[in-house]
Amino acid sequence: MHESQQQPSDGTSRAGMSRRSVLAGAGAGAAGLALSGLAAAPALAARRTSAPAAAGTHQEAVDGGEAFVVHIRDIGRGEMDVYRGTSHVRVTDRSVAAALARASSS
Amino acid sequence: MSSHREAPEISKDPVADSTDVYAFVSPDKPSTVTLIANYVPLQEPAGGPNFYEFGDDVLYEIHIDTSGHGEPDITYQFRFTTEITNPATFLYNTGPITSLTSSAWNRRQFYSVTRVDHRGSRRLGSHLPCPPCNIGPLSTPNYAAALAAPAVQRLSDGSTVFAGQRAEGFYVDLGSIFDLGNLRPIQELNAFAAAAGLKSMPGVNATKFVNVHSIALQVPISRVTQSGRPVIGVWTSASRQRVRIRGGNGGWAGPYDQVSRLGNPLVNEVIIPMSKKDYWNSQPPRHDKQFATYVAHPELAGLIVALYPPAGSFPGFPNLKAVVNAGTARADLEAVLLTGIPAGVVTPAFTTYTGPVQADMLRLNTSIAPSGSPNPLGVIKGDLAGFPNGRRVFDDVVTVELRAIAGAILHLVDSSFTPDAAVADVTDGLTEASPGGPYLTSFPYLGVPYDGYDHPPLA
Repeated sequence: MHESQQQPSDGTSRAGMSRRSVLAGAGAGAAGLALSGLAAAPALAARRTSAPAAAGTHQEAVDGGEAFVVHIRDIGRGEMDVYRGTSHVRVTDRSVAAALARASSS
Repeated sequence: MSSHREAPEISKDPVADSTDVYAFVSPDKPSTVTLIANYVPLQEPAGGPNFYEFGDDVLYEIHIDTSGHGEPDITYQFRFTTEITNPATFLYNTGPITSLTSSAWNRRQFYSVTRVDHRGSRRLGSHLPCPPCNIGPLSTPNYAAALAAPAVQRLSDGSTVFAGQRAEGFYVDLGSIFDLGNLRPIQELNAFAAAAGLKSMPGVNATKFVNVHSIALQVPISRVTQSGRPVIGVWTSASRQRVRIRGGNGGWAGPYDQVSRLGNPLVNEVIIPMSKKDYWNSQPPRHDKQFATYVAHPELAGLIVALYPPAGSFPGFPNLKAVVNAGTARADLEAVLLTGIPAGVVTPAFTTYTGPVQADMLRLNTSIAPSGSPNPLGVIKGDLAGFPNGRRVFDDVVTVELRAIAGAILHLVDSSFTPDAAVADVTDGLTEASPGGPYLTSFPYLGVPYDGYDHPPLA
C-alpha cells in the first residue's frame, strides 16, 4: 500500500549482476564489509526495486547524489545486500564479494 | 506510560518514539475527525540550547483502516526538514521570536504532508512551518497567538494540520505504577506498600509540566470513512531507512523499516512481554494475531490479583483470580483492543467492531456525536464518545485500562462473571485536571506547551 514502506523480498537473488557494476558503485578505497559509494552503475540501477515517491527528501540527503551501500552478508556464498535510495536488493556473486573483501582489507 | 519509552530499542530513539494517539470526532466541528500522533516524549521545557524537534530522517505516518482488514486504506505521511538561518551562532534564537518568519529564529522545521490512498499518492502541503519550542517569555513572547496559532495550516484538500510542540496531555502516576504496581490511592492494599507501612495518598502526575511533539490533523469524516462503514481504525508509525552512514558526508540508504507504532494506549507498554516489544514495534497491525495470546491472558491481571491480596476487610480480587487461574481467554480485552466492540455488548447500537481481523488499532465510530458533558472514563461510565471509542485528549486511559484488565467489563461478554467490588477502587488517582495546564477547546486541543523559563515552577 505505502510505497515508502515497500519491503524487499529478502533472499531474492540477483544473480547475473556484473562484478564491474558493483565495484563501480562501491568505489575504491572503501573499508570494512559494508561499503558505500557515490557513483551509480546503470546495471545496478536497472535491477533495483522501485523507489517511493515519498522518499525524495532522504534520497537527496545522501551526499547530493545517489549513494548506495553494499553489505556483504556472506563472502563465501557471495551474498550481498545492496541499498540504494530507498530500495534494497539481494545479490549473489562470489567473485564480486571476494573482490570487495580484498578491497576492504587492502 | 501510554507508549513513552515503552520498548528497549525505541526508548533510545526519542524522535521516532510514538507516545500517544488520539482520534475523536471534533467537538467544535462534528463533521470532522481529529487525529493526533505524539512523538518525542518527556520534554523538559528548558532543554536548550538544542530544543526538541521532529526527526528529518524519520517517516511519520498516521494510518486509517476504513474496511476492517487491519491494513491502511489511507495514510497521511509527514516529512520534516530543518533549516538554519544563521550558521554563525550556537543559539536557537538571537532575540525574541515574534512570528514564524522572525529573523531572530535560527533553527526552524518545515514539513510536508502526503496522503496515500487507493488513488495513489498526493502531496497536500509543502514547506509548512512548525512553531518554535516554547522557550520563555523573553524568547517566545505571546507564544499561543503569535507562534502556535499561525502554525495551524490549511492543506490543499481543506483539511487542517499542525505539527509542533504541545503540552503533554497524557497523565499517569508513573513513579508509583512501576514501583511494583503500586497505586497510591489504595497503596495500603498493595502487598509491598502495606509491608512498608505506606498509607493512601493522592496520585502524582509524572508527566506534569513536560512537553511533547504533536502531529495533528483535522479531516472531514467523509474523507476518512467508507460509505456505510462509520468505524475506522487508526494508528501511527515511525520508520527509518535501514542504513545510516555516519561520518564523511553521511546519509541514509535502503527501504524504510518501521521502528515504532501505536494504536491503543498501553498495549506495548503493559501487555506485550519485554522480549517482544521491539518486534511488536516493527510489525503491522494486520499481523497482531501473533500477539493475541498476550491480550487474552494479560500478565497484569495476575499481578493485580497478587499485588492486592485479601487483607482484613478488603476482599481482594477473588473473581478475577478465578478467571486467571482458569486460564480463561479474556474476550472482553480481545474485543476492545483487537477487533472492536460488537453491537449489543454495551448497548444495542453501540459498536466499534471492524471485523474479525485481530489488529491493534484505535477504533473510532465516527457516527457517534461528541458528548456535551464528556466523562474522561469514557464508555465504562456511559460516555460512548470516549475511549475506547477513539480517544480524546483528556481521557483517563490509565484508569480505564487498569479497571478493564481488573475485570470491569468482562461481564459484558461473560454473563457468569461478576466484577470484583474492588475494581471501582482501581485508579492511579489522577484526573483530567492533573496536567499542568488546560486542554484547548479547539484544534489542536492539546494545550500550549510549557515554557522553559517558568517550568518547572518555582517552589
